[in-house]
Amino acid sequence: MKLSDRLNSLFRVDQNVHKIVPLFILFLSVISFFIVTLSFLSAGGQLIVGVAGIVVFFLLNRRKDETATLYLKILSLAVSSRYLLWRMIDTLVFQTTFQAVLGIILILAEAYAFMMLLLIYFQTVHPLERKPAPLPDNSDDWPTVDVYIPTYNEDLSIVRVTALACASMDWPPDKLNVFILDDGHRVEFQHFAEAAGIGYISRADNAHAKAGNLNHALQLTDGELIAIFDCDHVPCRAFLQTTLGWFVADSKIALLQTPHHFYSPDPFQRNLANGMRVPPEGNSFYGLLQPGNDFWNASFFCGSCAVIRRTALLEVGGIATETVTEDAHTALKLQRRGWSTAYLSLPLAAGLATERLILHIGQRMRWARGMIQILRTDNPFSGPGLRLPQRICYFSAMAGFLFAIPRLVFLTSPLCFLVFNQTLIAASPMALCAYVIPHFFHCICTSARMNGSWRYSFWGEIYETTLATFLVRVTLVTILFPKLGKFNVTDKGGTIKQAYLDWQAVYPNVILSGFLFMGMLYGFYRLFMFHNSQVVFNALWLNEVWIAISLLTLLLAIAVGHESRQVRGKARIQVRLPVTLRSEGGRLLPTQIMDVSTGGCQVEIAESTVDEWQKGQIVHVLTEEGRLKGEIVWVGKRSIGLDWRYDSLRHEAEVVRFVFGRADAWVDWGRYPPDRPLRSLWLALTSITSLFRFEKNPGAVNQKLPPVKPMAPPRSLPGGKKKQERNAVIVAPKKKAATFCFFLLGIMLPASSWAQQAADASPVPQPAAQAVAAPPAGVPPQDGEPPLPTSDATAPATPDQPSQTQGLTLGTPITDAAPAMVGVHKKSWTLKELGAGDTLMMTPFASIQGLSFGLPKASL
Amino acid sequence: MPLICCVSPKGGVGKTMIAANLAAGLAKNRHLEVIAVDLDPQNMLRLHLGGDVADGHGFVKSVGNIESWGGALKEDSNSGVIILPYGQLSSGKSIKKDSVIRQKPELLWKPLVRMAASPGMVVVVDTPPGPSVMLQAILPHVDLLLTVLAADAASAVLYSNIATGKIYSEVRNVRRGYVLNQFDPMTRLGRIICSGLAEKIGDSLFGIVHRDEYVGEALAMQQPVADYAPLSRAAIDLNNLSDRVSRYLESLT
Ligand SMILES: Nc1ncnc2c1ncn2[C@@H]1O[C@H](COP(=O)(O)OP(=O)(O)OP(=O)(O)O)[C@@H](O)[C@H]1O
Ligand SMILES: [Mg+2]
Repeated sequence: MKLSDRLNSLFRVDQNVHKIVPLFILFLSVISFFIVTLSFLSAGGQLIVGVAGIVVFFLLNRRKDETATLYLKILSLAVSSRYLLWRMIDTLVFQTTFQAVLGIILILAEAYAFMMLLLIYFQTVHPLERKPAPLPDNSDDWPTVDVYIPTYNEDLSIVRVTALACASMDWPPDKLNVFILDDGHRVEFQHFAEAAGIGYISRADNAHAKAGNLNHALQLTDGELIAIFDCDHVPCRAFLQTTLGWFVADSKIALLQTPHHFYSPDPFQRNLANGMRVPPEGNSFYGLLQPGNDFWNASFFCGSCAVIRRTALLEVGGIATETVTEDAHTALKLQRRGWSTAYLSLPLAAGLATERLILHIGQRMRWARGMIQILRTDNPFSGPGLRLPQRICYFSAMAGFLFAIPRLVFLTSPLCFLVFNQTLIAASPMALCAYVIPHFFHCICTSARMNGSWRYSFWGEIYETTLATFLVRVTLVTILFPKLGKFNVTDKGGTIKQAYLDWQAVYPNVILSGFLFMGMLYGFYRLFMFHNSQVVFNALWLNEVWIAISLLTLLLAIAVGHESRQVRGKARIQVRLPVTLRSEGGRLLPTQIMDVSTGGCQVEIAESTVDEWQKGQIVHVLTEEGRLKGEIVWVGKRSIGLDWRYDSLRHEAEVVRFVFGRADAWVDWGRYPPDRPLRSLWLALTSITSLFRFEKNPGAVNQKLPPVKPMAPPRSLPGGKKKQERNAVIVAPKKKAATFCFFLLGIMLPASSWAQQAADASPVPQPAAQAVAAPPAGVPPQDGEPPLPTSDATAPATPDQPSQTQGLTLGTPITDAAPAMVGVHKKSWTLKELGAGDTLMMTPFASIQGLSFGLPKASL
Repeated sequence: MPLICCVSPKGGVGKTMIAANLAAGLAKNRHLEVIAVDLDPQNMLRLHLGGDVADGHGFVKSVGNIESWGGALKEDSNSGVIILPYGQLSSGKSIKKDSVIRQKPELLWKPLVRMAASPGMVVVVDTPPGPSVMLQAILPHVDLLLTVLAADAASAVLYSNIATGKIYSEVRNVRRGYVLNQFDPMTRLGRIICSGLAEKIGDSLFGIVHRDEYVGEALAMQQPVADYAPLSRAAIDLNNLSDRVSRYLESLT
């Protein structure tokens, strides 16, 4: 029996919790073994027990299956329990109150770490590899979808890309409505939306920020499903067809979340020397924890790149407004009502990562605040509706944001002894070896095995340390006053002209590391200037090692704030896309695109054709789907650079579709070698060089911030200061029949003209193969006098040719026939690579609503 | 070995260009002996393959006298294709020759079939546009009828005429292949028609050739496109076409 089945039968399918007992007994017996040995054995014996545990690890670790992982997790928990027990029983000293308080704080921090270890082990017992569910063959049975793009203060240049991409997703046009939900009340957004045939909704007030914005729209639209994209998450064209199958297949699913993928490096990747060799910070959540949650039916909404069922959402009163993380809270509320959630681990949308550390910090402060708010006001362990595993998963997600204080405790603890001479851990080096080393070993190695290629060992410590000082206040305040708090928008998409140290984002860590450094110096002073007893000597150098590690971590966290130069306003996507380049004179050269953005692209050229290209020349990039116009902005030896030139919104939409539309665009998101702790440690340590990187700008530290857009001004709260009266603006998406005939025409034209329908033929065309009229009898080939076929073609309106003219106009015959033809033209994507079991058949649909895709009759 | 015939119900779609480049492609890639025969009084085929404009020799003068055809054969040293031009003839004489062949079609098809019968030999025939006596004479003996269609609106109709057996009904379906030429992705109509036609034609579609300036330039240089601009889209398209044809030929034997 596979582990997944076994676990299924344990927890999921039937709620027979007592089946969990065997596992639990195993866990208890391993623990009690260690506890028993704890009291019997001498330090030397303990060392042997510790070593034995490590040996068992190596033996088990040779098996690669999930069951072995589970055993290793149990072993790891047992070893850590043993460590914690030892700490509590043997090492606490309470000679003074001061010491007692410090000692207890430290052990509480360790207990927190242990709890998180336990929770995450549980969450990731069997990360579910959910596959896309197929949609019904007949697209009439597909659900209707409203796409919401909430925006507040982001640039139109960002929002329009997302909006155009949403509008050109492959879905029956009559079942897809895209809305920009503008809380910024900007006229130019409305104009854009009208021009693109997209809906525009702007409300009179801004109450409850994003959640309020979504809820307002919820009352005005009527799609069965609601897809939500933050305005900087650009979906690929296959998004809906890949995700919505589950809503048809399982009527209990209220929510389906997909990963937030960022095609630009996050601040850690960009600012740390080895950052690009390490998975992005978000990968462990979207690659591991969410699939893990999904197994327990506890994956939750992350605010964007997700689809929600309207009926379910209405049942819980819309998006939650009580907390600032409305997304997770909404999911929790849905699940309390018995709805299922789903997570599809395929990146089908991509956006820009927060482009500097300070913004990342601001975002995480909001998340932490929100999650702790939920913990306080709607704790998953209390309240109705959830099953135990769900409670655990939700609790884990929220408790994870409490890391700030424990992290600071770990960083600063060695100061207690070095400076204040307070012993927090009273243990001999021998005992330390026997307990601490196995504890760390199992934690690190088992986690590394669990994390695989999603997160690297020791990097999590850097991520946490970067945030810790900022989160302390938020954590404390929110725990005490959970109702406080406002919504910040994370700013994206700028450029950084010069490298600089973002003082604002690192100053607490700089101060802290100053203290630690002084503590370290003082420790050395004590080590070398005094005659210490053996015990004190040992304690001193052990604490020196500890503080050195703390200091290193802090320096790395500071290095993350050393912002590197970022040139392009529109981050380029590294790709290899075959295209054909058409020169001004009409010469065609097949080639490859090397990188691309909505601004332009870089195209490989053969050296022998270099003379063909001149700066300023207008060229066309011919793709499978169409052509994109670009101007050559530079000519290199092996490549040329193009800037896209749009003549119209439709062209812009084509560019967007080309850049972001590909279903398999982001399959590489998890392609990092699996974690090897020592390698990861090396990558982390050597990243310290980033701290000493000075680009053209020696005075970087003192440099003032480049103009950062001010953080979102606080939203007007209802009952707050009266602001200028605003009226809600609502523009429905335009849907002219003629506008979405573009693709259908392609399907229809040959079919109808070959079918040689008489003018009065049924409006539903039959498949052309059968519809081809039988050859007119009585035209047998005569020797030497074959019929003159060309005369047929040139005679315009002979009775058997009327359909040609019909087929080429945008008259009713096409639109009538359109639904019947939908689904005829299928295209297969390499979704196999995405992990989908079978190759998915994608059905292309008429693209942008409202954009005039009509065919000029003159061209005929 | 086989007799390949490039035809099209409509003029100017690129038959001659396809015939010449297919011949060159087959000669280059497959180490076959390729004879390119021009049945069109325009006598243009040779010009695609380095032929001399002033040279008026051709087989047509000596129809009925196969032995003297040899004098008209020209090998293009560059591509290795052996060309049998139509010859320079006044239109009156052309019509006369036509009526000879209408009386005795075997005067044309027998020598061609004989040529094609020798091992390792492929005969690629270029024909005049639309129906013609010459084409009619050899049609029943063709091993691959390659219909060239321009990727334009008229071709949709032409194709349906072929598919319904109004023309070329002498050739069995399995012996038919289609080439879409002058596909212009710059126009939306071009793309729509091309994908629509491609879907209809299905497996019998032997290739799609883009409209590419390099084609005209290659003709001006009297070279196969693959020699003149090997990296060009058209060269790659034409190369794919000859690959496909040679796969078809292999399947025949
Ligand atoms: N794919 C192409 N791209 C650009 N030009 C092309 C292409 N195919 C053919 N042409 C050009 O079109 C013109 C007509 O080609 P060609 O003479 O081969 O046609 P044809 O069908 O043989 O004409 P006809 O019916 O008169 O015999 C030539 O100038 C040729 O260079
Ligand atoms: Mg010709």
